[in-house]
Amino acid sequence: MLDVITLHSATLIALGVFLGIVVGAIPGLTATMLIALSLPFTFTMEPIPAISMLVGMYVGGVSGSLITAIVLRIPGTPASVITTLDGFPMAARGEVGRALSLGIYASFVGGIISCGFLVLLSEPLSRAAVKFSKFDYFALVAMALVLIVTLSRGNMIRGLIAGGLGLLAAVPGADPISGSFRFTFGIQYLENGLPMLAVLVGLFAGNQILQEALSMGEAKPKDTEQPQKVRFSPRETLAHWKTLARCSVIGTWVGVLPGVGANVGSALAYGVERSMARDPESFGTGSPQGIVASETANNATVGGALVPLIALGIPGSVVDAILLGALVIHGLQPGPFLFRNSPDMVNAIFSAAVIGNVLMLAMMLLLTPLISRVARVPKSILLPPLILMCVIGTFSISNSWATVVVMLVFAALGFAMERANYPLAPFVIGFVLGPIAEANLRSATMFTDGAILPLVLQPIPLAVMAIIAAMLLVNRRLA
Amino acid sequence: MLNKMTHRAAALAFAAAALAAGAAQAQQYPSEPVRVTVPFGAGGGTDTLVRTLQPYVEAALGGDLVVLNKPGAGSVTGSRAASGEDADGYNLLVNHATLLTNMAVGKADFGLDAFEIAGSTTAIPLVVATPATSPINSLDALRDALAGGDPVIAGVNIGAVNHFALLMVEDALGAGDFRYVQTGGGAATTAALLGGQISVGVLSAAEAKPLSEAGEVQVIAALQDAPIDSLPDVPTAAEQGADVSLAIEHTWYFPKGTPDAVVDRMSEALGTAMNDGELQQTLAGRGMSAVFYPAAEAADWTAATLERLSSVAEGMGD
Repeated sequence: MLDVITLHSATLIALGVFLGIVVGAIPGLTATMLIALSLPFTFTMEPIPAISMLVGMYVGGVSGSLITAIVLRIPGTPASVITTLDGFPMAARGEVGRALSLGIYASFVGGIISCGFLVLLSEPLSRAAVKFSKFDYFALVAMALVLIVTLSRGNMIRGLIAGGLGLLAAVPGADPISGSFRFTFGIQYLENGLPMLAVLVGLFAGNQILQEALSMGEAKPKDTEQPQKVRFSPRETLAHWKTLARCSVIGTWVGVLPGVGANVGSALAYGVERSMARDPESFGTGSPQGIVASETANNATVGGALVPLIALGIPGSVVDAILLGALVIHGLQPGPFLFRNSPDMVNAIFSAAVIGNVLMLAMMLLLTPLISRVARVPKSILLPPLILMCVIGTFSISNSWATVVVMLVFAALGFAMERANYPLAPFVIGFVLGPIAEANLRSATMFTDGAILPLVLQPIPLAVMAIIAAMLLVNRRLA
Repeated sequence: MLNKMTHRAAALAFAAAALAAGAAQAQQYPSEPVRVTVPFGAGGGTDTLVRTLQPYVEAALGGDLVVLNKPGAGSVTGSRAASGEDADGYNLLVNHATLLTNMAVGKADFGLDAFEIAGSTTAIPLVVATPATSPINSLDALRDALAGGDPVIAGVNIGAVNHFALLMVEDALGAGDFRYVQTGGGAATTAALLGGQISVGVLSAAEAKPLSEAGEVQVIAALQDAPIDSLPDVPTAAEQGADVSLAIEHTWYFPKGTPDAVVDRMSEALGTAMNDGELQQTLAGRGMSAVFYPAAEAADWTAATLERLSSVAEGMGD
């Protein structure tokens, strides 16, 4: 299988992974942008090196964001918002190296297991995915939305208010069904809705920078750990083997489903793990299981999303849509015949995904001792470049200052919410998952001419609703 | 600031010169790079197409093009922005039939009168497809299914080209109405067809070809007047008694008021580019027709298509 990868391709995969990690770590820049912008450069390349490099970027991009999520509580991309919930508290109590180690090895395991599914089961998995109805989708996303409740433990009212605000913030823009504009208040900028990346960068990065800046005069608690002495060991991650297995499966499956991706994957896995955990109350306070759950699942979505692309020619995510475009540009016809007509290319994609994950692990392990020292850099030196990154990242989303303004507004909102003890995570869950839930439920009822009963009459939604009820019960027991 | 002023000055000088010397001056165009707004994201179908055409158009024009992606609101955001740019010949917009459907449903708060059309290049042929095991294997069978009374579920992107295409088919068959459900664009509709979630959908010829060869979907009608080159065995809709023809063409728009000499020069350059054998081969490989309509023809054709889409949109509420 690996013989289609030459040294030339391997070098390009390494370059792709490295660039992916870098943009993934920068708030507001994502692998999607990197791949879209790199695409024209691949026009003149040979097909296999070109696609291999793009796949490397994909793998690197979803991994790099865990670094800033854990060290600074600034998720580089939406996929690692959930990682901040436990990663940052663990880092904050001085265990930066441990948190990073957990996240990196979990990313690797999730990525590799999903590659296994990709190589061995892409055909049956993608057949099952296209059978998934809109009601099934809605039920799955609803299950992830339950996180709003579970993350609000101890402060249910405030959590629900934050989640509700998140849902509301996602309403303005184009109606997901008719495409007509709603709640834009005559402001043309709002026709596209609030840009998700700008909102997230504001809420987390902007807000965090504000908080750090304001607390600069305060005495800093001494770190109990010397990051340069941290030994990265897979042992603790592997001890969570059940979580690794479950979350790899959840992440892969969410990735296989067209239209939902890493954000849903990590939220869903985190919710499931929390309700199955022996000590669910530790989630959100620096639980190793929480870090492993989120990072395993978001990396597993990458291999998963390649499944329908390779087996059926259906892109599972925006990145995969661009990869599909790249295949077409290089004269390959994605679809059920890709296996038969271009086995070399299929093998190249498989290999690039596997090699990409190995290189990702190596690079992250090499880079992280360096990066974890970032947490010890004096804030007066750390903050200015961070602010610059946030502004550049959000400006580049749509080449407009209006997007930077949105980021600043949400930085202020995030700051105010945390000062008033309103949790941010439910807001983000509502904001990110609300529109997906809405689009699927409304589309589902178009199939049934308005009837909503299939939600409790069809087997998959019924089963998922039962799991949701169980998750809520676990939460009730804790409250 | 300085840049903007020299820009304006150049535009004024240009307009004056154009009045005096007409086409002779157009030889000096372009003296700076021409910005091409693509109202979709980088890496998408339209973006990729424009970047593929770019070197050929640059060679024919003797100047540089700079592609700018301004995605959002189903291409309305970028198209509106482009309509308001300086009409000095250095601002272009490339959009396809989506711009016209946005105008037809009133989503765009501007019309064709905001633009000068430089030409239309490439068309993506559309086909009607049904799941592999569906009894609906022709438009006749589709007519029967519609007349039968059971809901025939049509997966579309509401208000977009694939929705309009089926509205036109429904209208032409005159046997009953589809039950439209929101699936989305080509990829989502393909998934829904493969999963048997919908009874009928519209795909591009390029999407449909590999699926049809693999026996994964049935392609029952080509929505153009002549058979599609890449799918020669698929009968046209017209042959089956439904006179529907709709393709995704890509039209190049200048803002209103751009001097005629410039529009003509660009039209000529687009024509030269589309005549390139290598480019035609590349496009054919991607399932596109390398058609070209020069400025005047493209303007007529676009206006006629908008009129037709608008009359379909009026019937949508029924």
